Amino acid sequence: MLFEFSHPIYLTAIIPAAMLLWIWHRHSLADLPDRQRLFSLLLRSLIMLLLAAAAAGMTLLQRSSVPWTVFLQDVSRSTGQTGLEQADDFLRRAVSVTGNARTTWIPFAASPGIPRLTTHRKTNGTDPSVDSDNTSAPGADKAPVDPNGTNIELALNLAQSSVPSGFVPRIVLLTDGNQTSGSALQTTLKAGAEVWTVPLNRGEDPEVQIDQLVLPPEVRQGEPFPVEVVVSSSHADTGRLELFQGEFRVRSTTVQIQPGQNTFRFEQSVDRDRMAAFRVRISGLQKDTLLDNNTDIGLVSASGQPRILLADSDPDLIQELAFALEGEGVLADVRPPEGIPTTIEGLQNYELLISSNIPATALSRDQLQAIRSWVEDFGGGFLMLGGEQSFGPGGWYQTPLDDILPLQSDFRKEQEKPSLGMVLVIDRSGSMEGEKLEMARAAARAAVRLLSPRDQVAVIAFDDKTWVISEFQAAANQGRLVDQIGSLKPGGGTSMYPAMEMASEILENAAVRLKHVIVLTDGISNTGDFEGLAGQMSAAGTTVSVVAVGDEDATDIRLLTSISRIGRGRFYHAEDPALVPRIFARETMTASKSAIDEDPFAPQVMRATRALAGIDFELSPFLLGYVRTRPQPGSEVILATEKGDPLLAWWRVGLGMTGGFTSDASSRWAAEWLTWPGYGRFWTQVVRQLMRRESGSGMNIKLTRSGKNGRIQVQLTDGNGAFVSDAKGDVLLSGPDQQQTRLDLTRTAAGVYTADLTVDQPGVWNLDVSLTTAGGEMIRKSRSIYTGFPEELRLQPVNQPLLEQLAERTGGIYRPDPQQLTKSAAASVTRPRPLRTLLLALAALLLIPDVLLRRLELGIFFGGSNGVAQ
Amino acid sequence: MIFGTPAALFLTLIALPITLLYLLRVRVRKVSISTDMFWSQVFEQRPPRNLWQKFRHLTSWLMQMMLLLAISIAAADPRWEIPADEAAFQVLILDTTASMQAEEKQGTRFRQAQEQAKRLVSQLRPGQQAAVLSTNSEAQIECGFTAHIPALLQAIEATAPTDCSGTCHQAVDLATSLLQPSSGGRIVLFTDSRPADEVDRLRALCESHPSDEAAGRCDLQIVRLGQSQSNLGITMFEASRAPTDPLGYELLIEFANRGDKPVTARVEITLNDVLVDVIRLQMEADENDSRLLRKLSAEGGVLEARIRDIQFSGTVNLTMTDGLQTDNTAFAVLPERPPLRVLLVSPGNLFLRQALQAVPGVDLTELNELPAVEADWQGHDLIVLHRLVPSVLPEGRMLIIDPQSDCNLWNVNPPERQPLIVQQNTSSPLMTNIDFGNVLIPQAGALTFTGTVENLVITDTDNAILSLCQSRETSCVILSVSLSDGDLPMRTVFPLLVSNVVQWFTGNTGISTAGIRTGARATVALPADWNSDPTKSMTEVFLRSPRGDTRTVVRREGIGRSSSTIELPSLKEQGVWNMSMARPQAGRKKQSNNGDSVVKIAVNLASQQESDLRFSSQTDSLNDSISLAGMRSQLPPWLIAVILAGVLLALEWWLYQRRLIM
Repeated sequence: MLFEFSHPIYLTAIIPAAMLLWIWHRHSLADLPDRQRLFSLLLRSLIMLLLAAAAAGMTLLQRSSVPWTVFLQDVSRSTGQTGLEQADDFLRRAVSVTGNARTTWIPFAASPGIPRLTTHRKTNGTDPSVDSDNTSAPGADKAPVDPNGTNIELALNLAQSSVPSGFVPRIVLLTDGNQTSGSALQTTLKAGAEVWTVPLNRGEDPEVQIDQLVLPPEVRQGEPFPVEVVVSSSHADTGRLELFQGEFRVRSTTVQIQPGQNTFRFEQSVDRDRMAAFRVRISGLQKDTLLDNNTDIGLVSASGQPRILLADSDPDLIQELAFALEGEGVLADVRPPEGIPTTIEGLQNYELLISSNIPATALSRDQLQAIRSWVEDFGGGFLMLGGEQSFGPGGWYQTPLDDILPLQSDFRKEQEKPSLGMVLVIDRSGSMEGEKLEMARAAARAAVRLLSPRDQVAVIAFDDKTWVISEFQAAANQGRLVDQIGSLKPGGGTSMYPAMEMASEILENAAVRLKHVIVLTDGISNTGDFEGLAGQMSAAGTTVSVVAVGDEDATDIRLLTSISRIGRGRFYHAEDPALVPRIFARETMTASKSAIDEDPFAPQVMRATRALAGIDFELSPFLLGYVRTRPQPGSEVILATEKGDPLLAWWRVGLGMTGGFTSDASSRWAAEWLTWPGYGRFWTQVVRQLMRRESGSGMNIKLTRSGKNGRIQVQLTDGNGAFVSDAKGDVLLSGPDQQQTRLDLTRTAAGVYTADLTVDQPGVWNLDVSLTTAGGEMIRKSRSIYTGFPEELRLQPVNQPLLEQLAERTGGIYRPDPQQLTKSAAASVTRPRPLRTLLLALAALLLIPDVLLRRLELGIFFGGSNGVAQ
Repeated sequence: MIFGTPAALFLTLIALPITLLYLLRVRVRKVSISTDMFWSQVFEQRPPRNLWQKFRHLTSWLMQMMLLLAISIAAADPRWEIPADEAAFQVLILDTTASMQAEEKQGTRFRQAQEQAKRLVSQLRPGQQAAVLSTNSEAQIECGFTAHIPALLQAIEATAPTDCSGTCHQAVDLATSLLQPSSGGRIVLFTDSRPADEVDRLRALCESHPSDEAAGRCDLQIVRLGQSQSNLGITMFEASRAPTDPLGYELLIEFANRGDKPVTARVEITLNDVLVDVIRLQMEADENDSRLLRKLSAEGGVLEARIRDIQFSGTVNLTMTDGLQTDNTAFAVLPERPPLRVLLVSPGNLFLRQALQAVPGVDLTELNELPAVEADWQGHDLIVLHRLVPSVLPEGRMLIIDPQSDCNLWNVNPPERQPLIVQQNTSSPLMTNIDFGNVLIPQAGALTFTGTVENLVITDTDNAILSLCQSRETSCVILSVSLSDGDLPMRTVFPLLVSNVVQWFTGNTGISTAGIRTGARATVALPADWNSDPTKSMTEVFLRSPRGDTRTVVRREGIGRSSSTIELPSLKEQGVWNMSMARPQAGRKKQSNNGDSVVKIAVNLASQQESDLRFSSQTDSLNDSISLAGMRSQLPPWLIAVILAGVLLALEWWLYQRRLIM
């Protein structure tokens, strides 16, 4: 024990005070025995001493092993209901043992909550662990903390900080130990702080899970590389471990699993893919509680031969082109339109996408958006080949890709083409209200704009009546027509027959060469002899196409199909109203027969380029047709037809390039080209011109991730292998939701550039790394990273080793019994106890004998007196 | 006024026995005398003051009561109520980042912070409590809430600055969490400078704590310390082994002149305390400068850069130093380049031998015939086979030149005469700076490969004279050209090709153990041999700081973590740290750990923020004046009562002894 004085200066008052008391004692006139007076002096001096000590702030510094207990309860998602109940039960028993004094409760998950003092049991029987200001029991209160994570380190730091001075921190940590951030063992704990750990588990159920799938981030095609699978288990077991590359199972083996961590290694290679997804799965276990954690996915980027995707409405027709390209060292995957990936990471497997004779209506919005973003932001290449369903006739006008193509799809037909009379019959029933009618108006406007001034058009709407929106008039009145279309509003029922009849009457007497009706409806009409009417219209030279929009169940598909068949038109079913404008555009172009020219021609070289090196077009055969287009301002027209229309054009869009070849590469218009020796070379060189250039041969990328925090480290070397340290650049990060973020790369070492990422959603994240050297050379590379479900949602067994380590290193107890909480702490701290009150109380009590000694003559105790009489 | 210990007022009950004692009549003592004549004269000269006589008794009693009351009140701990503008609970945060070590006229900034914090603590009112946190890259509690001023003073004194950079977010967040249960309070941050936007974020954090139960409001007051001053510092120092040159390494150093005047200085760079370079710096005001140095050295070790002779123009600086010393030094660790073990099996070719020996770091073993024992194939990083090829190639990496026999990967066909090179894959790293176009090759071998092969140089007959063949066990580069015919060995193509093959197979990435910034958490790879012996206890590693302190770090935090890496705690001291499996022996700077390997880790401040000791006009206005209400020199009420009691005690004593009271 030690004493200290906070204001020792006051102790100096003792000396003069004692002197004064002594002097006055010496000259005392009091009539008391000498010894009694002496005792009185001593007593009074003692009182004075006590007062001085109190004034000086005398404090007893006592070594104390009294703990202050902080209950740290994990309320994150991973603990689950069972864990919460276990915690509640432990807390109740603990508080009943410790009482509520010198205890605090802190809930925590991704961050710690507010420390609370526990109070005494309420007389009304409320749970003793309930805070007086809060009626909910600990563990049931989940509001203040974010449950989607577990950070034990922050919680421990707050817990020990919340312990008042003079007590030994005793932290009782109730958790499953599966931390998603921070490092519990790296917490700087004060000397003597004990951490007792209470595991919260989901039960003693046996559990096996895939911990990790370790893959190299980048390999060369054909090069073997190691694949490491880490499996953790709570017990010994036997299972089947399977490895899939894409959809194909590449390895399957029976494995013996021991308790703890098990590592299995395979060797794999990537032959064709640029971005290969590997999936590992463990199954067939004897005992395993949860199956969700039995798989994991990893991505590998493979460099090697370029690979393109070739999509055609009829894949068989484009095989010759695929063979020709493969012969020249370009790998080509051939697929139908629905095989085009809908996500950027799917497109990242390729350097170029070729769309051959595919209408815009065959692609979904996701596909179109993904292609555009992939070209602009990730440097992919896109080439459209001609055909009856490409460019304008394919309805590509005003689609997301229309802007980025070097050739415009809204080609107006020439004078010598026959005039067209078209009537648009649009359903304006109540069910069309909203997006459907909006799309219908947009479609009608688009159709009007595609017509030439000589064409004539009318717009009729119907619900239970027929309404003339625009009279039959020349398409030259575009402005008025567009205004009138804007007045189209939703109405009542659906009676289509009178509207079709009116359209037929309008066109019957129209002085036009081509007559066409487009009907748009989303429902089932009142009865009428539609098929008969369609037959009459067809006989009168009017073709009828029908567009059904919405659910199949809501429309009479059979009838509408029959109308279009009898009317020698086309039938479309658009589940997504957004397709309607494309359909109308396509219909208009097709009906006007304005876009396709099927006269044989010889290609004319308009601009010399490396892509045409070694090809003599003087000797090339004829092409038998092409789609008429107009070049976009700024595009490069490389080849043209004899009539001066563009045949091959390209330009740069964002980081990528797009091109258009208005003829085709198959047997329809390029039949003679298929046997031409220059066929393969021409297409290979065009492909190489347009495809993505991953110029990053001197770029090594290292991607690491911990939870939602990732880091990309790029090492850049030049052709001689020396570091390039003067580059500047950034990373374009595109998430699973297609949201994009651009992050600057910071130089952190010679030739090394780093950026920190946040990848907080499950799925594939695409990164496009771009660095520009001081000499102006741009080097680019793309990578992808896969994030599974949040770490917090991974169902894992209790992290017993961590909890045991925490307890052992701090002198705590693993799995304590609540009764043990009454033990004193092993460590001790200095606890200051101010003695002021005690000293003053003592001084006050000493006043009694002090007065006693002066009021009573106690000569029999103290002997004779000085004899002064009263 | 309120009482801290109201129960002490029960001490006033002592008045009862005291009063009782006063009610007792004091029996007058009888003394026999011979005459009362002289006593009569005394009485006549000094007539009894009957009125005062009556009050002497009462006065004495009153004085005793007053004394008792004073003592009781003092014991009850009276306190003035804390004004609304003062907080009952305060958290003091001491900024311990590196810039706080900047020297000022009144001592370092940190010393100033300590002094101010002590003053604040010393003036705590009764009933007020305070806690002390320190902040750098992390927040740490130094002293929990207490009203015991000496404990707080001791904690403040014991806190030391670090070499870290950091923000104060975690500390302010922690302080807010600590204050919330107390219905809010005051946070006082002692710091030198914070960017204005950070201050805004800190205030917002304080005022809108994310907890839904935030009951109290926390005020954040910032006490800015120090004066704006110029500083020159090293903001980056990294060393990397060159990817292509085994002996070469590159140093990237960045300097920042955070001053309003140009500066000159000298920078010395040493490797294992041996001087390797001196840089003369001449920088304009507020300029950054970076230097990339290319050096050669096979040995590894500790690189140190030290700035000396700093002179800001227009100033006289006798000490030739600047405001902050910490950032005048930086460290990097350069790994050794171990020799490359190459086995050459050849009947004999001078050019081939010399080409291999010319590759730096090659340790060449030569054999004239194929090894008979499988073990002889082991232990080499690269095997070079010239003409001699076993029927089954061993596992490993190989360069095979002019194979004359079949093996498991190819069959040998009749050679091709006068081959014409038509295609070269220049994109392959093996073909860097190589062009076979002008090489005279009278004859080239023709091989038919049994597996997948990448052809790099192809002739007009589709024969590949340079190929790369990779299988599960074996990777080999095959050059099917005779070295004794033609002029290939005498062309630069040949040694370049050999060098490219060596680089290709040894996979030098050029990145060394990267430095760590002070205060940052980092994951470092453990040496392979630390994992090789499962019988060794490998749950902990030991870190020895530059000053010689040792701490343990757990290797694996339970299940789910890789054991080939380790996450280091935040290292707050700049310098070279040593990590080992065995505990370092105390008192020895150089570790000898019985042959166990030691991993050196360079830890540097390298922070633009900490090197900038200037205050902008925005930060100048951030110095909140701390409410000094708590700092008034005011005696607490209890002390006044004690002093009053003491005065009464002495006065009553004197009066009694002079019989003025009874």
